[in-house]
Amino acid sequence: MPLRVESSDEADLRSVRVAGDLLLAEADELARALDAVEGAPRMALDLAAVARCDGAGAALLAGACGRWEAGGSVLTVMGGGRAAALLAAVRRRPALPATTHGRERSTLARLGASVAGVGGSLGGILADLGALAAALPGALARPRSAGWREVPALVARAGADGLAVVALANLLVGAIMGFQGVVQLQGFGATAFVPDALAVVILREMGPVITAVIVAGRSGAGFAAELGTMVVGEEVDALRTMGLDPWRWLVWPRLAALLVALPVLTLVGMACGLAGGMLAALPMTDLGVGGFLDRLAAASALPHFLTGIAKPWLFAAAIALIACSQGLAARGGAAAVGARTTAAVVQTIVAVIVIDALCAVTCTALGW
Amino acid sequence: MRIDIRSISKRFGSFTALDRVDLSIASGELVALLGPSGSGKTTLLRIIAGLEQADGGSLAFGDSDVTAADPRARGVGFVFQHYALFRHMTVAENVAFGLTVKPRDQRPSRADIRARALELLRLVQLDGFAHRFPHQLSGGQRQRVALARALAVEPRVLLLDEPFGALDAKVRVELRRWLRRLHDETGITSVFVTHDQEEALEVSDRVAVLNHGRLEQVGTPEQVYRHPASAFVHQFLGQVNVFHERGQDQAGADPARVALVRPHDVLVARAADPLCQIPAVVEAIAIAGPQVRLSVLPAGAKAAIEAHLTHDQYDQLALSRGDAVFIGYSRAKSYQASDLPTTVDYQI
Repeated sequence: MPLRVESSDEADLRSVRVAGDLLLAEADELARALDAVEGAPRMALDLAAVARCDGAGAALLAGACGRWEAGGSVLTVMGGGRAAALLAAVRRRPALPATTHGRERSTLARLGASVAGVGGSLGGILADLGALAAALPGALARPRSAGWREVPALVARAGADGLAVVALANLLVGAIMGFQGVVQLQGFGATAFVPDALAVVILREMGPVITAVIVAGRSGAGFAAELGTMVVGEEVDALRTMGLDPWRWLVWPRLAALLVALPVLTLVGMACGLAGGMLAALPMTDLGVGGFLDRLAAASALPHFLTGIAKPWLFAAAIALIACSQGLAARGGAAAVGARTTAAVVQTIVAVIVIDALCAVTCTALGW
Repeated sequence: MRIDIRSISKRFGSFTALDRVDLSIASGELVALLGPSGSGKTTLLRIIAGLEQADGGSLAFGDSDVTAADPRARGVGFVFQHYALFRHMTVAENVAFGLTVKPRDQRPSRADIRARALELLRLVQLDGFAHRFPHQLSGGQRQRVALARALAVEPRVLLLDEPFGALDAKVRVELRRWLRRLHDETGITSVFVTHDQEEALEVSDRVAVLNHGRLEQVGTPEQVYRHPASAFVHQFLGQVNVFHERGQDQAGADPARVALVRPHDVLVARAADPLCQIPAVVEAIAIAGPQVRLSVLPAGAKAAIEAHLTHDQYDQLALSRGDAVFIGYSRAKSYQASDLPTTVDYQI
């Protein structure tokens, strides 16, 4: 049916009769026809003769109604039918805010957004730290309200199950260090100092960091995925309705487990690192096992070792806190768990390296 | 435990989930929160549980204000749509969990906890399943374990979030009758969320209908079904036909008003009579269990309307496809056309 828009004035009432099809195909024509109708103090929009109407037609009608009303018209819609129902539905919808969806943001804008977000995520970490601290007194005073019984199993999972990979990685890194040490020091005829170099590198830096990075990848991802799955499956809500605080029940046991497991793993890692370094260096030098161990002992390895074994506690706390808070922040479905797990791994590894750098600077300043 | 919800509001960003909702739930009552998705019903339930905090308004259990109280202080049992059972615990451990983590002075002895868990498993007809793990149970069984777990802590209020939403139709019907019986036995004040009007009408003492974060109507199932307070409630609680009033029985009909008529209130006759004056043609006939569903197209109308007849009525009329009939309606309720929900089942 052809589209028709007629307007007529009777006393102070302007009647606008719309007839025919109000469809997308006629949208241009309808828009022009409606634009031609001026507003009046009292108006009646008669839709009785509309044959068919779709969203485009209703949107154009709604636009015209809005224009008339903005000009001070008192408007009555008459005729009912699908057109009137659609018009009413369109007019009830609040205007959507402009979004940036689907629009590619420039690199500069993305950079700006991520810098602006740093403050927020630092604030988030502080808030998580606060929640963690607030949960400790209760977890100690009422051990039943914290999942301490889970700790042995968690230690086994984070520690014992990760032992082989930690040992292997440290052995290889130690071997690389030993090999490179020999190659570099040969030029100076100073291969006898390879054990000294290994003591600093393995005990102070590489052992703790390599071990922590592996644990961040294994346990950090594990914690984030486990807690995220529990949040998405409403298990965390179930705990809360039973009076349990997730920070007490889930986060502290995981933190405690890593505080136990990571230093032990680091010890193993240091031993494997030194062994690897020795295995690589021995065939290339004339130190011999006895000579190597003597040099190692004489290299005042103890301060390096003490610094190295102090750091895993910091690493463990950072890994558990970041991974658990990422897991608890999962919202939505399985996709959120995956995204949070990825974020947890990236953030924990970065955190380990940043903490190690801060420790290196601090220790140097203090002369340790 | 009486629940008083006063002027509760909640926003998520720019989305208004709840807009000044007032609702009082009497002690021992079973109330359904009914509404389409996004109507705010689950948010309201989570606010009652303390899992969300309201932006405004107050909430009281009995005489004590719990607006800002911690979930653990409220004494609620919560049943989740996807069961939320602890997957590494057996059925018995799941049920007993809430008791085993209580502070020492409130915790029953180990033997008492065990006895209570077994008793609850009997109540939900799962004795013998105590040592299974959740993944070894069917959906309906898991939801009953979840219910037993929620009841174990002797909650003052039982809250259920679409408890049967994830189950198949047959189990759903069984479980909701069973829930009603269980409620009659335990007498715990219960609130359950559903988007299924049939479920709400069948199970609850009263139904609270929510739409766009506002309470549309609260009443007994009969009140909300037979005397809907708004076009939305009328349309949401069952199928409706939309008749544009054309002065059939009242003079001076207003073209801006429409009448909503349930399919079983549509009258069909072979010959025109004072009640049935709209000529129509039978388009389709479907035998659907206890009723016969007719699709009839009134003359000049663009869409068919649906009429439900009993088998007796159908036999008397002896209808077949293409027959000319006259239709009318009883118990219509008229509304402003602009108040009509955007989706309607049938309209002429």
